[in-house]
Formats: sequence, structure tokens, C-alpha cells
Amino acid sequence: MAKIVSYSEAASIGMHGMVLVARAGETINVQKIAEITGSSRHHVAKVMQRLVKEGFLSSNRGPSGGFKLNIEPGGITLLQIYEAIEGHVKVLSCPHEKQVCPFEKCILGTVVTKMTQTFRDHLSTQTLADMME
Amino acid sequence: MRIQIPKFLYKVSRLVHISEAASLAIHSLALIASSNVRLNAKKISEILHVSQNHLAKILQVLAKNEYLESNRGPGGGFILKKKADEVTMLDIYQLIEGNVECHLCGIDKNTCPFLTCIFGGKPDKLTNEFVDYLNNTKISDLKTKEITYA
Repeated sequence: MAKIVSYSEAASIGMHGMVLVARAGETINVQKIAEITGSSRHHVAKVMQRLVKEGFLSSNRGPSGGFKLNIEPGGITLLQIYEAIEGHVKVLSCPHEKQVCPFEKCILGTVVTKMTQTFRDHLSTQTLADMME
Repeated sequence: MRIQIPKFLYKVSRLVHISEAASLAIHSLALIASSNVRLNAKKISEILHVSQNHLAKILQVLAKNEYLESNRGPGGGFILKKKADEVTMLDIYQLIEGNVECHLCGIDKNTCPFLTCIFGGKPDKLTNEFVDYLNNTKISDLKTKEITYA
């Protein structure tokens, strides 16, 4: 099966994890996030630590430990979380990154660029505050 | 002292992933469709600026599946077997990559615990639009510039 729109599990954990932290109110731990997202504790811990390093989250250890938001929910977008984990989103005109092409028009038309832009725009306009309903 | 650049600073990512192999197959078919002479793997790889080995494998798959007819020897090469206006980009994409997954948000999870998809249902919608585009574009719609094939 081929996936066209795709992002890594790490990116998914990061984005979903941050939404869960924002909604939790109190601290939420790796175990809880792993249960809800269906990912391994190890992977969740790794990704959340990355986000702590970025300054998005603060963490404390111990029995009632876990993660809390370190920023205002309205002040961070899904795109920022995504790019902290995966790097800058590239919007390419040619998926093969070729400069020269023997075709009059790209066979993919503008479809790939439009898809990337649309998804990217969605991520850049959704803040964590928008996710708290 | 060696300066370590954090991985995320030079890493780039793409939200949309188009199979290179499938794209190459489609480009090759369209090129062969436009040509008035038989093209071989070497010539096609030169025109597209891609590895000849990689291309040869893809052309084999197309020939095996009756999209191309090949003959060996000097002056040999490939011509279309199925007509260009009877083959869609989707036919070729799915030949190479299998069926396109249209009903997932991008990750292999069977159940999602969130009431509202944090991606606003965009991955599904965009994928379906892409599949429609591929399904509505025939090989005969893909025109090349003026190329000297000889």
C-alpha cells in the first residue's frame, strides 16, 4: 500500500502528545501518552524529551511526575512541533529535485505543490489552543 | 573543535511522498509515447538524467506487464504496447506501488482516540484529490518538449 501524505510516527507522537499535554491541565506522563496514542513508551519518551529540549514542555520526575506545557497553548502551532522533530518542510516543485526536465509541463502538474502547501498551511494555522475543545 | 550541527537544522522533510520509481515509470512511458523512434534504456536514462540500471529495472516491469514491447540488439529498444490514451497515470502508479492508501491519516493506527482529527481530515482529502488527478490524466496528455531522439 502506498501512502502519499505521510509523516513519521515521531512527528505524529509529537503533535498528538502536545495536544494531550495541553488538554490535560495537570501533568501527564509518558505512560498515559503511550496508551492513548498506541505508541511504545520508549518512542514517546524520546520524542517528548526532544520537545522538552526545545522549550515547549517542562518535565518533572517521580511518582506524580510528567509533562506540562512551558508555553501558552495559543503561542504554538502544529507546524512548529512538526518541524522541531522532522526539520523544515520543503515545498518542492519537482519531487525528483531535477533542474532540467524534457517535459513541457511537470507531469504532476501543480498537484504535489498544492497538497504540500495545503497540509502545511493547516499545520501552521492550528495552535494548541484550537485543539482544546 | 568540530562543531556539531543539530540534526534538525539541516534535516528537511516532505509532507507529501511521491514514489520515485512510479514517477520514473510514468515519465518513461510518456517519453516513449512521444518518440518517433525506438528508445532504449540508455537513451531514456540520458534524457531523464537518471541511473540507467535503476531505469532498466522499471522498464522490465512495464514490459512484463504488457505496457511496453521490447526488442534487443542494435536499433532495439521499447515501444508502447498499450495505447497512450488508454493508460492513466494511476494505472502505472499502482502497478509500481500497489494500491494507494486513502483511508488513513498517515500512520498505521487502527483506532484514533481523538474526537476530532488534529489534521482536520486533510490527509485523506488530499490523498483522494491526488488519486483523482492520477486517474484523470492519461499518458497521452503528457507532452514533451522538442527532443532529438536520434
